[in-house]
Amino acid sequence: MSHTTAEAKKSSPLKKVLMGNHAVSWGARLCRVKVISAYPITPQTQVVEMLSEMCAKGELDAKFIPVESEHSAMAALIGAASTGVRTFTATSSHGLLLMHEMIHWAAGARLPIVMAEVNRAIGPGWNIWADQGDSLSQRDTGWMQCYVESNQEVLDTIIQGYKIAETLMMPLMVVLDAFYLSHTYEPVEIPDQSLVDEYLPPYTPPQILDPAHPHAFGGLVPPEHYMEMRYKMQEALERARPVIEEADGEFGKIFGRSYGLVEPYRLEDAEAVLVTSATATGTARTVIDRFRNEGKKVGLLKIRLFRPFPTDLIRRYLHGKKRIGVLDRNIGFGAGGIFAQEVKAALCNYPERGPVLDYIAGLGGRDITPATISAILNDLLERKLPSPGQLRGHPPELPPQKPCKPGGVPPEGAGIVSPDGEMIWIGVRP
Amino acid sequence: MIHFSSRDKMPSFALSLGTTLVNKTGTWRYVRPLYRNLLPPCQEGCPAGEPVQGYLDLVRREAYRQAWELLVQANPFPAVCGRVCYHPCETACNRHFFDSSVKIHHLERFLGDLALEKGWELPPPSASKEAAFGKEIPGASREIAIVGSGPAGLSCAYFLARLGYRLTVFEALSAPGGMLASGIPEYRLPKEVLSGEISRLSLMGVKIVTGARFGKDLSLEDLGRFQAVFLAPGAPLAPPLQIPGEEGEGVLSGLDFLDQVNLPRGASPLQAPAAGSMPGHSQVLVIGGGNTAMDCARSARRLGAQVTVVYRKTRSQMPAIGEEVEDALQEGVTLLESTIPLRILREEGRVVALECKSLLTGEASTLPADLIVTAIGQSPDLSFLPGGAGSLKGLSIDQQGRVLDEDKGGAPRDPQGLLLESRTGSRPGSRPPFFAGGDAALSIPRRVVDAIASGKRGALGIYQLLESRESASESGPPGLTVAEYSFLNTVYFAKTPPTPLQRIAMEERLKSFREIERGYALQAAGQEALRCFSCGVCNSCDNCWLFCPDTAIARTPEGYVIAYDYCKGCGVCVRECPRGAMTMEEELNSGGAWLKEEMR
Repeated sequence: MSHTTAEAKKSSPLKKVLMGNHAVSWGARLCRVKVISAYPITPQTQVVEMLSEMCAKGELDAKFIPVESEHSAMAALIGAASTGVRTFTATSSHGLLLMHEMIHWAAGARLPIVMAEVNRAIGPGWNIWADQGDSLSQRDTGWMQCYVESNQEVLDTIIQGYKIAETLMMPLMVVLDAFYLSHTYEPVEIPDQSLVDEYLPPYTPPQILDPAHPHAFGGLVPPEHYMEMRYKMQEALERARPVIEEADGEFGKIFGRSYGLVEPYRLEDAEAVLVTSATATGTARTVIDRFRNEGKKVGLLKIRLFRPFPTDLIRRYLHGKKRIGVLDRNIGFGAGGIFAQEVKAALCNYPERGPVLDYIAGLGGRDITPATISAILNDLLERKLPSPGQLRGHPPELPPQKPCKPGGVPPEGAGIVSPDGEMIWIGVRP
Repeated sequence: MIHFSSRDKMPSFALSLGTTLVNKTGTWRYVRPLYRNLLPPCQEGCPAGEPVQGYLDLVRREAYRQAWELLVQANPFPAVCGRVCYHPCETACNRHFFDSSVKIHHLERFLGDLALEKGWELPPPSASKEAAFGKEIPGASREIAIVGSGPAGLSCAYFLARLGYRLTVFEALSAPGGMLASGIPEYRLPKEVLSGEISRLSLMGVKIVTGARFGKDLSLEDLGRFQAVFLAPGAPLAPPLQIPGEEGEGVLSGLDFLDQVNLPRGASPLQAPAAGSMPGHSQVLVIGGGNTAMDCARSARRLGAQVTVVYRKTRSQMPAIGEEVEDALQEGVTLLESTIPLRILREEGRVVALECKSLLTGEASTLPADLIVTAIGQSPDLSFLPGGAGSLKGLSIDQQGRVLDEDKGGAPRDPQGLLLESRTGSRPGSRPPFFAGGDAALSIPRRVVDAIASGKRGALGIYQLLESRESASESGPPGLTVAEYSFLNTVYFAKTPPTPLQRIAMEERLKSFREIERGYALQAAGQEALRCFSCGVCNSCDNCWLFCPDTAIARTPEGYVIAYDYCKGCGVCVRECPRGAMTMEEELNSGGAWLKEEMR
């Protein structure tokens, strides 16, 4: 959900009913990208189709490089971006995984590539539906990640993405849910090109690959220097918050919409807070409203920016909250939901923190319904949790555990079931 | 180890501080790419050596005048050849392995017609370089005589004029052009096209004297004042069928028939004031299977007759151009294959029928006829030769066009030792050297473009003799390999059908001698020129430049330059050249200069 800004510049933007994938294409077009290289994969295909048509029709003055794989797509963009042009690609799931080596390279080479990533489950079993496992497996590559909630936000975040990436000289991926966004049509305001041009001036790289002045790019770096370079990457992302907030704020001034890095909802006096991301947030808001109507003090915190992780904002908004549940449409096997891990890590060294429970739901495109969210909120409000000081200074006994038989069902207490029968896991037992 | 005074001084990513130009990766190489243009097969296939690829490339770039100027360096009559040539260039065109040959003759005609329409003139012979021969023009202005104003004679005159010589062409008939004027009907070659191209020679200063038959109006002595003579009297004699009934009215040689057809409108006994009626001749038989036979058959159709062509072999063996045969059949000409004439039947002296025999069945048949046209070959009229050499089948000439003494085994004794002298048995000191070409020469195929080529060879021979130059090669620069289809990387080409010429409707065709094909418009020409593969010749497509992984190829106004200091010899450029204009060369075997330098 965006915040409308009063001082938005007056313009007469075009409104179109677009599928999320086409909102991506329009975003890239408005940013006047110069090189596009991509390989089609469900559910991202229409992104590439429309961009190739825009190039063919001359609506977008860009070189479209068809390739034989996602690895090559990113490699082509690395080469192109090194010469100092704005570049774009889109992929999903196994495509992203095949790209993995080049994903690291793009970040290490400090190239401000922007990519649309359609969240899709990873096989086997073969599955083309929404799941955050693909993008989150690229968590530590150096790419910024923005999880969006609506088709308008898709388009707007692509534009913001270049502003941020080119300021920090780090790549950014805009992550949208398969089908819930990629194939769903929504009214989208297409900003005026001149305003986008004003917001996003042509890319002027600090250093470019130029045959007239040849240098070695990406060559050997000895131990004496490698760490410093890695430090610079970490530093760029650790201090990114003002840059991203400014990009979002300026966007709001020009276009009338800004999104924040995280978005609090009915948090002020909330005792239990559900942390969400992406499209599940919309469903969660309506359930929060219902619980509030019943007098239950629940609130919501949406995480939009996953990398760099907005630790400061998480601490501020979750300060003093008694119970925190994290909804994860992903699973970090052996450790639980990934957003939950991140929230826990952010709060770990913060004294005024509540317990964090992690709820795994909606894997492989299973719908996260109001009933699902209700079941999670009820569990969050009611579950018995160890109280502080309960152990009286003694380390805990290791709970008895029997190895799980293949094909076994979760033992009692590991999962809850929503009223409409959908299974929800508790990622790691509290 | 590089030490940085602070972390801020370090680049933010792995980037060499200095230039990488110090790293001369060319030392890794043992083979190297080279730009090496080959001879396109079309040019090799053209007897006149037309630089087809070159002028097509210029058409593609809409540099029409340059294209024409390049074309006429090899052939003075593109508007003529574009219409009547049997286009061996298209037979040789590599594109026929891919989809179908480039319509080179249509493009040749396009340029020829455009030049006539625009009235383009040739650059004056005083131009410092004469690219037709790649030599300076001779300083002295000498006079040369040409006997015969057909394609061979005029071609020789043209090339010598371009070299700066003064030319006089003697023509036996009342108008210049030889067989082009008398032997080709208007629907294939309009008169104004021919006269237009010939008049360009007059503008160059070539003097054409008509009504001057060698041996009658013009004697050997008359030619004594010239520095050289080129004989191109043609082959105007038609051999008899040698069957009974041949003598008398109603039997015409093909050449005589066409000569009458080609007379100015109304002046021919065959012609009524307009085409469409041929008084007294409703059933015409044409005997023969060459282009002359087709011309006669199709002309007779236009004059309103029913026409049957009688040929002794099968259609596929006919020497006529395939398209001509096809057109004749379309126009309603009947073809009787594997049939030989036995005798001509007459009633009261008038031809009524031809008796003939099928070689397949051995059966005889009688074909009604009131005009029989024989087109079974031609031979030269050498009665001008002193000592009477009328029985000779043709003049023997060597590769330079010099007339040889048949009695001496065909070898030239010396530049002056020629047939004409030995036959006369005398040796006047002032006699100029004789060269020959065209249909009268034994070794020249009797086709327009071969005649043009022989004129060009004669001009070159005369030039070499008079200016004491070394002999040059026949067609194209020496030692060039022909670019074969297998040398091309056809991945880069898309199948494209040829651009057709528009034709007038069939019913219109038979009503008049109007030319049946309309030439290309600018757009169609450009479209067809784009189909040229440019076999073996770099046309600056940039593929090598784009593909070089080491950016070791530079684009300069003079062409591509390979930086061998950095080229690793990977060969990607050669592989990706669509036209085979690059090659790899092993360096150790070809000098290995860099290696010696490295080792020093």
